[in-house]
Amino acid sequence: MISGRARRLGDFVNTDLLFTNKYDDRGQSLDEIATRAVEQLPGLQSGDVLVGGTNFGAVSSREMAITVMCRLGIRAVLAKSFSRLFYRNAINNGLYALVCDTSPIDDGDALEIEPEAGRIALPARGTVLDTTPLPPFLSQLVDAGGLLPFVRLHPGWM
Amino acid sequence: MKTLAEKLLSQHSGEDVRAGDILLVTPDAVMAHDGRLGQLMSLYAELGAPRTFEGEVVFVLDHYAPPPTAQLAGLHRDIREFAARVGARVYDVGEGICHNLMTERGHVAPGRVVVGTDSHCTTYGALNAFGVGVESSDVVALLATKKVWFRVPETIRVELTGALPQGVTTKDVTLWLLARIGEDGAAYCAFEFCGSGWRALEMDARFTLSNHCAELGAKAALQPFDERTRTWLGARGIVDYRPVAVDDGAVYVETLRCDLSTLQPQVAIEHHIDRVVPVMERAHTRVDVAFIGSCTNGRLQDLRDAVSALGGKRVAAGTRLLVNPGSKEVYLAALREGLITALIEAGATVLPPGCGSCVAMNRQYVPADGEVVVSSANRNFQGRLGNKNAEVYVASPATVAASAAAGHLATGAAT
Repeated sequence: MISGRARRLGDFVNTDLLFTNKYDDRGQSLDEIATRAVEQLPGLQSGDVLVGGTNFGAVSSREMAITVMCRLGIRAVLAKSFSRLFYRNAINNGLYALVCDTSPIDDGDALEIEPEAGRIALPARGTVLDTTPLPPFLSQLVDAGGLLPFVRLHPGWM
Repeated sequence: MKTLAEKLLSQHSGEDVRAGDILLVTPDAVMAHDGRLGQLMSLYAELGAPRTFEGEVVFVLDHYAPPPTAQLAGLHRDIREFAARVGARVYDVGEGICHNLMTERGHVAPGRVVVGTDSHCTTYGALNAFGVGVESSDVVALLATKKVWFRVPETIRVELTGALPQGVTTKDVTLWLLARIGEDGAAYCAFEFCGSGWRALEMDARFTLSNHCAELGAKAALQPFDERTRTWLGARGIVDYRPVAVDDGAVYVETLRCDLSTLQPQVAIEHHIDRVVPVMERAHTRVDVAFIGSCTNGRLQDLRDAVSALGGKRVAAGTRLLVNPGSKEVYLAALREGLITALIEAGATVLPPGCGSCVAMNRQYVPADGEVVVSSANRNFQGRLGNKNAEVYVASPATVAASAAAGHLATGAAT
Protein backbone atom coordinates (compact mmCIF):
# COMPACT_ATOMS: atom_id res chain seq x y z
CA MET A 1 0.00 0.00 0.00
CA ILE A 2 1.16 3.54 -0.77
CA SER A 3 0.34 6.23 1.78
CA GLY A 4 0.87 9.86 0.97
CA ARG A 5 -0.46 13.37 0.98
CA ALA A 6 -2.34 14.70 -2.07
CA ARG A 7 -0.67 17.52 -3.97
CA ARG A 8 -3.52 18.85 -6.07
CA LEU A 9 -2.80 20.11 -9.61
CA GLY A 10 -5.17 21.07 -12.42
CA ASP A 11 -6.03 19.72 -15.86
CA PHE A 12 -3.45 19.40 -18.67
CA VAL A 13 -0.41 19.37 -16.40
CA ASN A 14 2.58 19.84 -18.71
CA THR A 15 5.34 17.77 -17.13
CA ASP A 16 7.85 19.06 -19.70
CA LEU A 17 7.46 22.54 -18.23
CA LEU A 18 7.49 21.46 -14.58
CA PHE A 19 9.86 18.53 -14.35
CA THR A 20 12.43 18.72 -17.17
CA ASN A 21 15.01 21.06 -18.61
CA LYS A 22 13.42 20.97 -22.06
CA TYR A 23 12.43 24.65 -22.10
CA ASP A 24 15.00 25.93 -19.66
CA ASP A 25 18.77 25.71 -20.00
CA ARG A 26 19.69 27.40 -16.72
CA GLY A 27 20.79 24.15 -15.16
CA GLN A 28 20.88 20.69 -16.66
CA SER A 29 21.74 18.46 -13.70
CA LEU A 30 19.00 16.39 -12.06
CA ASP A 31 19.50 18.32 -8.81
CA GLU A 32 19.02 21.66 -10.57
CA ILE A 33 15.93 20.43 -12.40
CA ALA A 34 14.46 19.02 -9.18
CA THR A 35 15.08 22.35 -7.41
CA ARG A 36 13.25 24.19 -10.21
CA ALA A 37 10.31 21.78 -9.97
CA VAL A 38 9.91 22.49 -6.25
CA GLU A 39 10.12 26.24 -6.91
CA GLN A 40 7.25 25.91 -9.37
CA LEU A 41 5.21 23.66 -7.05
CA PRO A 42 5.74 25.25 -3.64
CA GLY A 43 5.36 22.90 -0.69
CA LEU A 44 6.02 19.73 -2.69
CA GLN A 45 7.38 17.08 -0.31
CA SER A 46 8.87 13.63 -0.52
CA GLY A 47 6.11 11.03 -0.30
CA ASP A 48 3.48 13.25 -1.96
CA VAL A 49 0.99 11.88 -4.44
CA LEU A 50 0.39 14.15 -7.44
CA VAL A 51 -3.30 14.53 -8.26
CA GLY A 52 -4.36 15.97 -11.61
CA GLY A 53 -7.44 16.21 -13.77
CA THR A 54 -7.62 15.34 -17.45
CA ASN A 55 -4.66 14.69 -19.78
CA PHE A 56 -1.96 14.65 -17.11
CA GLY A 57 1.45 14.93 -18.81
CA ALA A 58 -0.10 16.55 -21.89
CA VAL A 59 1.86 16.42 -25.15
CA SER A 60 5.39 15.07 -25.46
CA SER A 61 5.99 14.23 -21.78
CA ARG A 62 9.65 13.42 -21.41
CA GLU A 63 10.89 10.44 -19.45
CA MET A 64 13.17 12.84 -17.59
CA ALA A 65 10.05 14.24 -15.84
CA ILE A 66 9.42 10.87 -14.19
CA THR A 67 13.09 10.53 -13.26
CA VAL A 68 12.84 13.89 -11.49
CA MET A 69 9.52 12.97 -9.82
CA CYS A 70 11.05 9.77 -8.46
CA ARG A 71 14.05 11.75 -7.24
CA LEU A 72 11.68 14.09 -5.38
CA GLY A 73 10.08 11.08 -3.68
CA ILE A 74 6.72 11.19 -5.48
CA ARG A 75 5.11 7.78 -5.01
CA ALA A 76 2.14 7.83 -7.35
CA VAL A 77 0.19 10.05 -9.74
CA LEU A 78 -3.61 10.04 -9.91
CA ALA A 79 -5.56 11.64 -12.75
CA LYS A 80 -8.82 11.42 -14.69
CA SER A 81 -6.73 10.69 -17.81
CA PHE A 82 -3.07 10.63 -18.82
CA SER A 83 -1.25 11.50 -22.02
CA ARG A 84 -0.01 8.24 -23.52
CA LEU A 85 3.68 9.03 -23.22
CA PHE A 86 3.40 10.07 -19.58
CA TYR A 87 1.53 6.86 -18.80
CA ARG A 88 4.09 4.76 -20.70
CA ASN A 89 7.00 6.48 -18.98
CA ALA A 90 5.41 6.00 -15.57
CA ILE A 91 5.09 2.23 -16.15
CA ASN A 92 8.62 2.09 -17.60
CA ASN A 93 9.98 3.74 -14.46
CA GLY A 94 8.03 1.91 -11.78
CA LEU A 95 5.81 4.86 -10.89
CA TYR A 96 2.12 4.15 -10.32
CA ALA A 97 -0.07 6.23 -12.65
CA LEU A 98 -3.69 5.43 -11.79
CA VAL A 99 -6.83 6.60 -13.53
CA CYS A 100 -9.69 7.57 -11.22
CA ASP A 101 -12.23 10.33 -10.65
CA THR A 102 -9.96 12.75 -8.83
CA SER A 103 -12.69 15.41 -8.28
CA PRO A 104 -13.29 14.52 -4.58
CA ILE A 105 -9.57 14.84 -3.68
CA ASP A 106 -8.43 18.11 -2.12
CA ASP A 107 -4.92 19.42 -1.68
CA GLY A 108 -3.43 17.96 1.50
CA ASP A 109 -5.81 14.97 1.76
CA ALA A 110 -4.22 11.82 3.20
CA LEU A 111 -4.42 8.99 0.65
CA GLU A 112 -4.04 5.22 0.98
CA ILE A 113 -3.54 3.56 -2.39
CA GLU A 114 -3.73 -0.17 -3.14
CA PRO A 115 -2.89 -0.44 -6.85
CA GLU A 116 -3.44 -4.21 -7.16
CA ALA A 117 -6.86 -3.99 -5.54
CA GLY A 118 -7.81 -0.91 -7.56
CA ARG A 119 -8.61 1.02 -4.35
CA ILE A 120 -7.80 4.60 -3.36
CA ALA A 121 -9.00 5.53 0.13
CA LEU A 122 -9.37 8.94 1.78
CA PRO A 123 -9.57 7.65 5.38
CA ALA A 124 -10.28 11.04 6.99
CA ARG A 125 -13.49 11.23 4.97
CA GLY A 126 -14.40 7.59 4.75
CA THR A 127 -14.35 7.82 0.94
CA VAL A 128 -13.02 5.09 -1.37
CA LEU A 129 -12.35 5.73 -5.08
CA ASP A 130 -12.18 2.93 -7.63
CA THR A 131 -9.37 2.58 -10.13
CA THR A 132 -8.82 -0.06 -12.80
CA PRO A 133 -5.82 -2.20 -11.87
CA LEU A 134 -3.03 -2.36 -14.46
CA PRO A 135 -3.02 -5.32 -16.87
CA PRO A 136 -0.89 -8.15 -15.38
CA PHE A 137 2.14 -7.69 -17.67
CA LEU A 138 2.32 -3.95 -17.00
CA SER A 139 2.00 -4.64 -13.25
CA GLN A 140 5.04 -6.87 -13.55
CA LEU A 141 7.01 -4.00 -15.10
CA VAL A 142 5.99 -1.58 -12.35
CA ASP A 143 6.65 -4.12 -9.60
CA ALA A 144 10.12 -4.81 -11.00
CA GLY A 145 10.86 -1.08 -10.63
CA GLY A 146 10.38 -0.32 -14.31
CA LEU A 147 11.25 -1.59 -17.78
CA LEU A 148 15.04 -1.72 -17.53
CA PRO A 149 15.12 -3.41 -14.10
CA PHE A 150 12.61 -5.92 -15.56
CA VAL A 151 14.76 -6.55 -18.64
CA ARG A 152 17.81 -7.03 -16.41
CA LEU A 153 15.94 -9.74 -14.48
CA HIS A 154 14.25 -11.21 -17.58
CA PRO A 155 16.47 -10.65 -20.65
CA GLY A 156 14.09 -12.84 -22.69
CA TRP A 157 11.05 -10.86 -21.41
CA MET A 158 9.66 -14.06 -19.80
CA MET B 1 -11.20 -8.05 -40.44
CA LYS B 2 -8.58 -5.78 -38.89
CA THR B 3 -7.70 -2.12 -38.62
CA LEU B 4 -4.36 -1.01 -40.09
CA ALA B 5 -2.96 -0.79 -36.55
CA GLU B 6 -4.07 -4.36 -35.73
CA LYS B 7 -2.62 -5.68 -39.00
CA LEU B 8 0.75 -3.96 -38.69
CA LEU B 9 1.20 -4.95 -35.04
CA SER B 10 0.08 -8.54 -35.75
CA GLN B 11 2.63 -8.85 -38.57
CA HIS B 12 5.45 -7.53 -36.39
CA SER B 13 4.68 -9.62 -33.32
CA GLY B 14 3.81 -12.95 -34.96
CA GLU B 15 0.56 -12.96 -32.99
CA ASP B 16 -3.03 -12.43 -34.05
CA VAL B 17 -3.82 -9.31 -32.02
CA ARG B 18 -6.79 -7.03 -31.49
CA ALA B 19 -7.28 -3.61 -29.91
CA GLY B 20 -6.59 -3.78 -26.18
CA ASP B 21 -4.07 -6.63 -26.37
CA ILE B 22 -0.60 -6.07 -24.92
CA LEU B 23 2.23 -7.53 -26.96
CA LEU B 24 5.93 -7.42 -27.79
CA VAL B 25 6.91 -6.08 -31.21
CA THR B 26 10.15 -6.09 -33.17
CA PRO B 27 10.19 -2.82 -35.16
CA ASP B 28 12.01 -2.36 -38.48
CA ALA B 29 13.76 0.83 -37.39
CA VAL B 30 14.27 3.05 -34.36
CA MET B 31 15.01 6.77 -34.27
CA ALA B 32 16.34 8.84 -31.37
CA HIS B 33 17.08 12.58 -31.42
CA ASP B 34 19.43 14.78 -29.44
CA GLY B 35 16.64 15.99 -27.16
CA ARG B 36 16.45 12.47 -25.69
CA LEU B 37 19.84 10.92 -26.35
CA GLY B 38 21.46 12.36 -23.22
CA GLN B 39 19.27 10.29 -20.88
CA LEU B 40 19.24 7.40 -23.37
CA MET B 41 23.05 7.12 -23.35
CA SER B 42 23.10 7.11 -19.51
CA LEU B 43 20.45 4.37 -19.38
CA TYR B 44 22.31 2.32 -22.02
CA ALA B 45 25.51 2.50 -19.98
CA GLU B 46 23.58 1.59 -16.81
CA LEU B 47 21.97 -1.50 -18.38
CA GLY B 48 25.32 -2.57 -19.81
CA ALA B 49 23.82 -5.01 -22.34
CA PRO B 50 25.11 -4.85 -25.93
CA ARG B 51 22.96 -4.14 -29.01
CA THR B 52 21.34 -7.24 -30.47
CA PHE B 53 18.63 -5.34 -32.42
CA GLU B 54 19.24 -5.92 -36.13
CA GLY B 55 16.94 -3.22 -37.54
CA GLU B 56 18.02 0.29 -38.52
CA VAL B 57 19.13 2.64 -35.75
CA VAL B 58 19.07 6.34 -36.62
CA PHE B 59 20.21 9.29 -34.48
CA VAL B 60 19.31 12.84 -35.49
CA LEU B 61 20.83 16.08 -34.16
CA ASP B 62 17.92 18.46 -34.74
CA HIS B 63 16.52 19.79 -31.46
CA TYR B 64 19.65 21.49 -30.09
CA ALA B 65 20.79 22.40 -33.60
CA PRO B 66 22.90 24.42 -33.98
CA PRO B 67 23.98 23.83 -30.36
CA PRO B 68 23.52 27.04 -28.33
CA THR B 69 26.04 26.19 -25.56
CA ALA B 70 29.36 24.41 -25.18
CA GLN B 71 27.60 21.84 -22.98
CA LEU B 72 25.13 20.97 -25.74
CA ALA B 73 27.88 20.90 -28.37
CA GLY B 74 29.52 18.38 -26.04
CA LEU B 75 26.30 16.35 -26.00
CA HIS B 76 26.45 16.24 -29.81
CA ARG B 77 30.07 15.06 -29.67
CA ASP B 78 29.09 12.31 -27.19
CA ILE B 79 26.20 11.23 -29.46
CA ARG B 80 28.53 10.90 -32.49
CA GLU B 81 30.87 8.70 -30.44
CA PHE B 82 27.99 6.65 -29.05
CA ALA B 83 26.58 6.17 -32.58
CA ALA B 84 29.90 4.77 -33.77
CA ARG B 85 29.90 2.31 -30.83
CA VAL B 86 26.35 1.01 -31.36
CA GLY B 87 26.38 1.19 -35.16
CA ALA B 88 23.79 3.94 -35.58
CA ARG B 89 23.38 6.17 -38.63
CA VAL B 90 23.78 9.87 -37.65
CA TYR B 91 22.14 12.85 -39.36
CA ASP B 92 24.17 15.78 -38.13
CA VAL B 93 23.29 19.41 -37.35
CA GLY B 94 21.63 21.13 -40.32
CA GLU B 95 20.53 17.99 -42.19
CA GLY B 96 16.98 18.53 -41.03
CA ILE B 97 14.21 17.42 -38.69
CA CYS B 98 14.14 13.77 -37.68
CA HIS B 99 10.70 13.08 -39.18
CA ASN B 100 11.63 14.63 -42.55
CA LEU B 101 14.84 12.59 -42.64
CA MET B 102 13.21 9.30 -41.58
CA THR B 103 10.70 9.61 -44.42
CA GLU B 104 12.85 11.26 -47.13
CA ARG B 105 15.87 8.96 -46.64
CA GLY B 106 14.05 5.64 -46.79
CA HIS B 107 13.96 4.58 -43.12
CA VAL B 108 10.17 4.54 -43.19
CA ALA B 109 8.28 2.56 -45.84
CA PRO B 110 4.78 1.10 -46.18
CA GLY B 111 4.09 -1.91 -43.96
CA ARG B 112 6.86 -1.10 -41.49
CA VAL B 113 6.73 -0.46 -37.75
CA VAL B 114 9.06 2.40 -36.82
CA VAL B 115 9.51 3.74 -33.28
CA GLY B 116 11.25 6.90 -32.16
CA THR B 117 11.77 9.12 -29.13
CA ASP B 118 9.27 11.70 -30.26
CA SER B 119 5.51 12.07 -30.10
CA HIS B 120 5.41 13.21 -33.75
CA CYS B 121 6.50 9.78 -35.02
CA THR B 122 2.81 9.61 -35.96
CA THR B 123 4.06 11.32 -39.18
CA TYR B 124 5.12 7.92 -40.58
CA GLY B 125 1.49 6.88 -40.82
CA ALA B 126 1.28 8.99 -43.99
CA LEU B 127 3.51 6.35 -45.60
CA ASN B 128 1.26 3.48 -44.45
CA ALA B 129 3.69 2.65 -41.62
CA PHE B 130 2.97 2.30 -37.90
CA GLY B 131 5.03 5.20 -36.52
CA VAL B 132 4.85 5.63 -32.77
CA GLY B 133 6.60 7.65 -30.09
CA VAL B 134 8.40 5.82 -27.30
CA GLU B 135 11.02 6.92 -24.79
CA SER B 136 14.64 6.39 -23.81
CA SER B 137 14.05 3.29 -21.66
CA ASP B 138 12.10 1.69 -24.52
CA VAL B 139 14.93 2.30 -27.00
CA VAL B 140 17.57 0.95 -24.60
CA ALA B 141 15.48 -2.19 -23.96
CA LEU B 142 14.88 -2.55 -27.72
CA LEU B 143 18.58 -2.30 -28.56
CA ALA B 144 19.33 -5.03 -26.01
CA THR B 145 16.33 -7.37 -26.51
CA LYS B 146 14.99 -6.57 -30.04
CA LYS B 147 11.56 -5.88 -28.57
CA VAL B 148 9.30 -3.10 -27.40
CA TRP B 149 5.95 -3.49 -25.58
CA PHE B 150 2.71 -1.99 -26.84
CA ARG B 151 -0.97 -2.00 -26.15
CA VAL B 152 -2.78 -2.39 -29.49
CA PRO B 153 -4.74 0.85 -29.93
CA GLU B 154 -8.40 1.23 -30.75
CA THR B 155 -8.91 3.12 -34.01
CA ILE B 156 -10.89 6.26 -34.84
CA ARG B 157 -11.73 6.38 -38.55
CA VAL B 158 -11.79 9.77 -40.26
CA GLU B 159 -13.58 9.97 -43.60
CA LEU B 160 -12.70 13.01 -45.68
CA THR B 161 -14.88 14.08 -48.60
CA GLY B 162 -14.89 17.15 -50.86
CA ALA B 163 -11.93 19.31 -51.80
CA LEU B 164 -10.05 21.86 -49.69
CA PRO B 165 -10.87 25.45 -50.68
CA GLN B 166 -7.98 27.69 -51.74
CA GLY B 167 -5.95 28.87 -48.72
CA VAL B 168 -7.23 25.98 -46.56
CA THR B 169 -4.87 23.07 -45.82
CA THR B 170 -4.71 19.81 -43.89
CA LYS B 171 -3.47 21.87 -40.89
CA ASP B 172 -6.98 23.29 -40.85
CA VAL B 173 -8.26 19.70 -40.84
CA THR B 174 -6.30 18.77 -37.70
CA LEU B 175 -7.32 22.06 -36.07
CA TRP B 176 -10.94 21.16 -36.92
CA LEU B 177 -10.41 17.75 -35.29
CA LEU B 178 -8.93 19.44 -32.20
CA ALA B 179 -11.97 21.72 -31.96
CA ARG B 180 -14.25 18.72 -32.39
CA ILE B 181 -12.76 16.15 -29.97
CA GLY B 182 -10.22 18.09 -27.88
CA GLU B 183 -6.54 17.70 -27.12
CA ASP B 184 -7.03 14.30 -25.47
CA GLY B 185 -9.81 13.20 -27.81
CA ALA B 186 -7.73 10.37 -29.28
CA ALA B 187 -5.67 9.38 -26.22
CA TYR B 188 -4.23 5.85 -26.66
CA CYS B 189 -6.02 5.60 -30.06
CA ALA B 190 -4.88 5.32 -33.64
CA PHE B 191 -6.45 7.29 -36.47
CA GLU B 192 -7.18 5.81 -39.87
CA PHE B 193 -7.97 8.16 -42.77
CA CYS B 194 -10.07 7.34 -45.83
CA GLY B 195 -12.44 8.84 -48.38
CA SER B 196 -12.39 10.69 -51.70
CA GLY B 197 -11.16 13.86 -49.97
CA TRP B 198 -8.21 11.95 -48.54
CA ARG B 199 -7.29 10.38 -51.92
CA ALA B 200 -6.97 13.82 -53.52
CA LEU B 201 -4.40 15.00 -50.97
CA GLU B 202 -0.75 15.42 -52.05
CA MET B 203 1.90 13.70 -49.91
CA ASP B 204 3.10 16.85 -48.10
CA ALA B 205 -0.50 17.50 -47.02
CA ARG B 206 -0.77 13.89 -45.83
CA PHE B 207 2.39 14.20 -43.72
CA THR B 208 0.92 17.25 -41.96
CA LEU B 209 -2.27 15.31 -41.27
CA SER B 210 -0.57 12.31 -39.63
CA ASN B 211 1.99 14.48 -37.85
CA HIS B 212 -0.42 16.85 -36.14
CA CYS B 213 -2.63 13.99 -34.88
CA ALA B 214 -0.07 13.74 -32.06
CA GLU B 215 -1.75 16.82 -30.56
CA LEU B 216 -4.97 14.84 -30.19
CA GLY B 217 -3.16 12.33 -27.99
CA ALA B 218 -2.96 9.75 -30.80
CA LYS B 219 -0.53 6.86 -30.75
CA ALA B 220 -0.50 6.51 -34.55
CA ALA B 221 -2.23 8.13 -37.52
CA LEU B 222 -2.39 5.68 -40.39
CA GLN B 223 -3.19 6.31 -44.03
CA PRO B 224 -3.82 3.86 -46.86
CA PHE B 225 -1.24 3.28 -49.61
CA ASP B 226 -1.95 4.48 -53.14
CA GLU B 227 -0.25 5.66 -56.35
CA ARG B 228 0.69 9.00 -54.76
CA THR B 229 2.52 7.16 -51.99
CA ARG B 230 4.27 4.95 -54.54
CA THR B 231 5.32 7.93 -56.70
CA TRP B 232 6.65 9.90 -53.72
CA LEU B 233 8.71 6.94 -52.51
CA GLY B 234 9.86 6.02 -56.03
CA ALA B 235 11.24 9.54 -56.56
CA ARG B 236 13.54 8.84 -53.59
CA GLY B 237 14.57 5.39 -54.80
CA ILE B 238 12.46 3.60 -52.17
CA VAL B 239 10.87 0.59 -53.88
CA ASP B 240 11.24 -2.38 -51.52
CA TYR B 241 8.21 -2.57 -49.24
CA ARG B 242 4.90 -4.31 -48.66
CA PRO B 243 1.92 -2.00 -48.14
CA VAL B 244 -0.96 -2.95 -45.87
CA ALA B 245 -4.52 -2.63 -47.16
CA VAL B 246 -7.59 -1.66 -45.15
CA ASP B 247 -10.06 -4.50 -44.47
CA ASP B 248 -13.76 -3.98 -45.03
CA GLY B 249 -15.56 -4.55 -41.77
CA ALA B 250 -12.74 -3.66 -39.37
CA VAL B 251 -14.01 -2.44 -36.00
CA TYR B 252 -13.61 1.27 -35.22
CA VAL B 253 -14.51 3.00 -31.97
CA GLU B 254 -15.87 5.95 -33.90
CA THR B 255 -16.10 7.37 -37.43
CA LEU B 256 -15.71 11.12 -37.87
CA ARG B 257 -16.70 12.71 -41.17
CA CYS B 258 -15.42 15.96 -42.59
CA ASP B 259 -16.47 17.64 -45.85
CA LEU B 260 -13.25 19.48 -46.69
CA SER B 261 -15.06 22.00 -48.90
CA THR B 262 -16.82 23.43 -45.82
CA LEU B 263 -13.61 24.22 -43.87
CA GLN B 264 -12.19 27.69 -43.44
CA PRO B 265 -8.77 28.76 -42.16
CA GLN B 266 -8.53 28.18 -38.40
CA VAL B 267 -6.15 29.16 -35.65
CA ALA B 268 -5.42 27.70 -32.21
CA ILE B 269 -5.24 30.71 -29.91
CA GLU B 270 -2.90 31.20 -26.97
CA HIS B 271 -1.86 28.39 -24.65
CA HIS B 272 -4.24 25.56 -25.71
CA ILE B 273 -4.04 23.73 -29.03
CA ASP B 274 -7.75 22.89 -28.93
CA ARG B 275 -8.88 26.50 -28.41
CA VAL B 276 -9.56 26.78 -32.11
CA VAL B 277 -11.43 29.63 -33.82
CA PRO B 278 -11.81 30.77 -37.45
CA VAL B 279 -8.89 33.09 -38.28
CA MET B 280 -11.27 35.87 -39.32
CA GLU B 281 -12.72 36.01 -35.77
CA ARG B 282 -9.29 37.11 -34.53
CA ALA B 283 -8.23 39.25 -37.48
CA HIS B 284 -7.48 42.20 -35.19
CA THR B 285 -4.67 40.30 -33.39
CA ARG B 286 -1.26 41.93 -33.91
CA VAL B 287 1.52 39.59 -35.05
CA ASP B 288 5.11 40.25 -33.95
CA VAL B 289 6.74 37.06 -35.20
CA ALA B 290 5.52 34.72 -37.93
CA PHE B 291 7.18 31.30 -38.13
CA ILE B 292 7.01 28.77 -40.96
CA GLY B 293 8.69 25.44 -40.35
CA SER B 294 8.63 22.37 -38.05
CA CYS B 295 7.98 18.67 -38.67
CA THR B 296 4.31 19.60 -39.07
CA ASN B 297 4.63 22.28 -41.75
CA GLY B 298 8.19 22.69 -43.02
CA ARG B 299 7.84 20.84 -46.34
CA LEU B 300 8.00 22.04 -49.94
CA GLN B 301 4.23 22.48 -50.36
CA ASP B 302 4.20 24.54 -47.16
CA LEU B 303 6.78 26.94 -48.60
CA ARG B 304 4.81 27.10 -51.87
CA ASP B 305 1.67 27.93 -49.87
CA ALA B 306 3.58 30.63 -48.00
CA VAL B 307 4.87 32.30 -51.19
CA SER B 308 1.44 32.09 -52.74
CA ALA B 309 -0.23 33.62 -49.66
CA LEU B 310 2.32 36.46 -49.60
CA GLY B 311 1.23 37.19 -53.16
CA GLY B 312 4.26 39.41 -53.85
CA LYS B 313 3.62 41.55 -50.76
CA ARG B 314 6.36 42.38 -48.27
CA VAL B 315 6.32 41.46 -44.59
CA ALA B 316 4.59 44.23 -42.60
CA ALA B 317 6.75 46.79 -40.81
CA GLY B 318 7.42 45.64 -37.23
CA THR B 319 6.69 41.96 -38.01
CA ARG B 320 9.43 39.37 -38.48
CA LEU B 321 8.94 36.33 -40.73
CA LEU B 322 11.15 33.31 -39.98
CA VAL B 323 11.36 30.34 -42.32
CA ASN B 324 12.89 27.01 -41.28
CA PRO B 325 12.94 24.47 -44.15
CA GLY B 326 12.40 20.99 -42.65
CA SER B 327 15.41 19.40 -44.33
CA LYS B 328 18.14 19.96 -46.90
CA GLU B 329 15.97 18.18 -49.47
CA VAL B 330 13.21 20.72 -48.88
CA TYR B 331 15.69 23.62 -48.80
CA LEU B 332 17.31 22.67 -52.12
CA ALA B 333 13.98 22.04 -53.84
CA ALA B 334 12.71 25.42 -52.61
CA LEU B 335 15.88 27.11 -53.89
CA ARG B 336 15.43 25.53 -57.33
CA GLU B 337 11.81 26.66 -57.49
CA GLY B 338 12.74 30.21 -56.53
CA LEU B 339 10.71 30.03 -53.32
CA ILE B 340 13.63 30.97 -51.06
CA THR B 341 14.41 34.02 -53.22
CA ALA B 342 10.75 35.06 -53.09
CA LEU B 343 10.63 34.64 -49.30
CA ILE B 344 13.86 36.59 -48.72
CA GLU B 345 12.76 39.35 -51.09
CA ALA B 346 9.50 39.56 -49.11
CA GLY B 347 11.59 40.17 -45.97
CA ALA B 348 11.85 36.68 -44.47
CA THR B 349 14.85 35.37 -42.55
CA VAL B 350 15.73 31.81 -43.57
CA LEU B 351 17.05 29.61 -40.76
CA PRO B 352 18.94 26.32 -41.08
CA PRO B 353 16.96 23.05 -41.34
CA GLY B 354 16.10 21.65 -37.89
CA CYS B 355 13.46 21.95 -35.18
CA GLY B 356 14.41 25.62 -34.80
CA SER B 357 11.69 27.98 -33.71
CA CYS B 358 9.03 25.32 -33.24
CA VAL B 359 10.40 24.53 -29.82
CA ALA B 360 13.24 27.06 -29.35
CA MET B 361 15.51 24.46 -27.72
CA ASN B 362 18.35 25.95 -29.74
CA ARG B 363 17.38 29.40 -28.34
CA GLN B 364 17.34 30.62 -31.93
CA TYR B 365 14.48 33.07 -31.60
CA VAL B 366 12.92 33.39 -28.16
CA PRO B 367 10.07 35.94 -28.24
CA ALA B 368 10.00 38.97 -25.95
CA ASP B 369 7.46 39.43 -23.12
CA GLY B 370 4.04 40.25 -24.54
CA GLU B 371 4.91 39.33 -28.11
CA VAL B 372 2.54 37.33 -30.28
CA VAL B 373 3.97 34.55 -32.44
CA VAL B 374 1.86 32.96 -35.17
CA SER B 375 3.42 29.65 -36.02
CA SER B 376 2.93 26.84 -38.50
CA ALA B 377 4.35 24.43 -35.90
CA ASN B 378 2.35 22.10 -33.69
CA ARG B 379 2.09 23.35 -30.08
CA ASN B 380 1.24 26.59 -28.36
CA PHE B 381 1.23 25.99 -24.62
CA GLN B 382 2.56 28.67 -22.32
CA GLY B 383 6.35 28.61 -22.41
CA ARG B 384 6.69 26.57 -25.61
CA LEU B 385 9.10 29.09 -27.13
CA GLY B 386 11.14 29.62 -23.97
CA ASN B 387 9.12 32.58 -22.64
CA LYS B 388 5.88 32.03 -20.75
CA ASN B 389 5.04 35.72 -21.17
CA ALA B 390 4.67 35.38 -24.95
CA GLU B 391 1.65 34.04 -26.82
CA VAL B 392 1.85 31.42 -29.56
CA TYR B 393 -0.94 30.94 -32.12
CA VAL B 394 -0.87 27.88 -34.39
CA ALA B 395 -2.15 27.93 -37.96
CA SER B 396 -1.33 26.79 -41.50
CA PRO B 397 1.66 28.16 -43.46
CA ALA B 398 -0.78 30.02 -45.74
CA THR B 399 -2.35 31.76 -42.73
CA VAL B 400 1.07 32.47 -41.17
CA ALA B 401 2.44 34.04 -44.37
CA ALA B 402 -0.71 36.10 -44.99
CA SER B 403 -0.53 37.29 -41.36
CA ALA B 404 3.15 38.25 -41.77
CA ALA B 405 2.25 40.45 -44.75
CA ALA B 406 -0.72 42.01 -42.95
CA GLY B 407 0.99 42.49 -39.56
CA HIS B 408 -2.09 40.97 -37.95
CA LEU B 409 -3.91 37.63 -38.27
CA ALA B 410 -5.14 37.15 -41.82
CA THR B 411 -6.02 34.24 -44.09
CA GLY B 412 -4.41 33.10 -47.31
CA ALA B 413 -7.87 32.34 -48.65
CA ALA B 414 -9.35 34.03 -51.70
CA THR B 415 -11.59 36.93 -50.70
